Amino acid sequence: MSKEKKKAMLEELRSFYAAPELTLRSNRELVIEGSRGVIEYTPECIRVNTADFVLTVEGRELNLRCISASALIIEGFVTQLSCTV
Amino acid sequence: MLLKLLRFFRGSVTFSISGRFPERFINMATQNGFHIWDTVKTDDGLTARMYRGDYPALRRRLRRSGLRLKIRKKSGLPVIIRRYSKRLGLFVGAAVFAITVAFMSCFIWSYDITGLGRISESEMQSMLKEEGFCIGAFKPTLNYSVIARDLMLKNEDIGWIAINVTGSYASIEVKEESPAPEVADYMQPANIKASRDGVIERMQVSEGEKTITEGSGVVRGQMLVSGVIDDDVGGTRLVRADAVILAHTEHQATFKASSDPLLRPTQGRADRIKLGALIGDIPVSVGAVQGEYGILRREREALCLIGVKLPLWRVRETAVGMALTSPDDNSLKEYLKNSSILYEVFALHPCTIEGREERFEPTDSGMELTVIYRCIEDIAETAEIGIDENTDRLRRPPNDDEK
Repeated sequence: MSKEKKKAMLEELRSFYAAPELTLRSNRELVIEGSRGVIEYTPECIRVNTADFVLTVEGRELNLRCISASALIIEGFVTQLSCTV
Repeated sequence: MLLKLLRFFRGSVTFSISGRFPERFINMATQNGFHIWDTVKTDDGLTARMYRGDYPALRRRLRRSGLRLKIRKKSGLPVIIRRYSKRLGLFVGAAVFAITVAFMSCFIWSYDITGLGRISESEMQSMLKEEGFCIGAFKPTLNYSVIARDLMLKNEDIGWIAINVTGSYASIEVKEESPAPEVADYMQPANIKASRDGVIERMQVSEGEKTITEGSGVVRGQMLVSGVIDDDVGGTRLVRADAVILAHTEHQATFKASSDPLLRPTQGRADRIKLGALIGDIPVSVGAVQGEYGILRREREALCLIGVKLPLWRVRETAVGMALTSPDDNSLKEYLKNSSILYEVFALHPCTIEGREERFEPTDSGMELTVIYRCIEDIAETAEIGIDENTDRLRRPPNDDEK
């Protein structure tokens, strides 16, 4: 296997594992691992910056229950999720 | 739960942020490694919580951002300690209480024994005490399995024992050894003989052949029903005779009473109540009786709180005054009558007493009561027929003399 192919594979693997991971428990709780910051925070809409896209969480009574450097937990009634690349 | 406990021990502050773009605060805080939780958006900003120790550093960093921070509430253990730091007695009291509870839980405060039948509770308690298990015993020195094993080895009546200790309370479960039941040999041929002298009233023979008739007088050991039955063809058959033979019998008993001075209770009587604990008994009420002699009866009752036995007990002492008095004839007669009643209850319980003749006679040492009881009772006594020797003789080969 050539060096270029190896490099491409490693890059692919790295991007795969660095991708944000979303866990949605019913529509009441959303765990986002790999977040880069909160862009907008209102009870109806929370926009979160991730490495690859901006995640928009829409709903009612949305709260940031817990925030750390690389993860956050959103709780409330999630009605819509959308990604903006 | 663990996280809540950690937050309680580290202490937390609830603060509010006001100003434009509070999202900037969230990003800045998370990028600097501050942990924030319970974030709630409000009209003019947001409120959140963070560890108490991180708050000053966060406040310094936010000075340039144009956002305003305000502490709403402080909570957690450090806040409580700070609040009560001047009241040292509270902490000392709490520490003393915790140490006392921890120390006192190293002892056995109360125990219950269940499953006793033939063995009395006091006997079991004394056996446990010999093994070092009693109220006030230091738990770390007790080896429950060894105590249970030793008790089983020492007392054959104990088939199984378990000591379950929950905190300072012990539950002792005992299973007594069941004795093997006596199995009667119903195949062994037997006769029915008379166990007493008497006159036959009625015979109910279910197996065997009558050798006497109703109304006959019999003496002790006389055969009443034979287990050897002759059949019509001249042969014999051995059976185990079974019958109920009701006969009129007589029992004679003599009771003696001495007129020597005896200790008898006087009118004096006093009750005393004490509250007992491991350290000793504390008198609650006092009382005493006059007289040279006395009997003290002591009853101990454990105190319970919501069904839980406490290491406290109420001791009730009853003191009865006694005096040395010589009995008169009436009291001697009463004593002898009581003795005869006890004899009837315990010795003559299988008999139906039809009548009795009582005769009081004064003797040199006091008084004597002779009672003749006329009873109806079952005098049937099974006497096995010894056929084994004959059988053995037949099986054994004849010796030279026999040949």
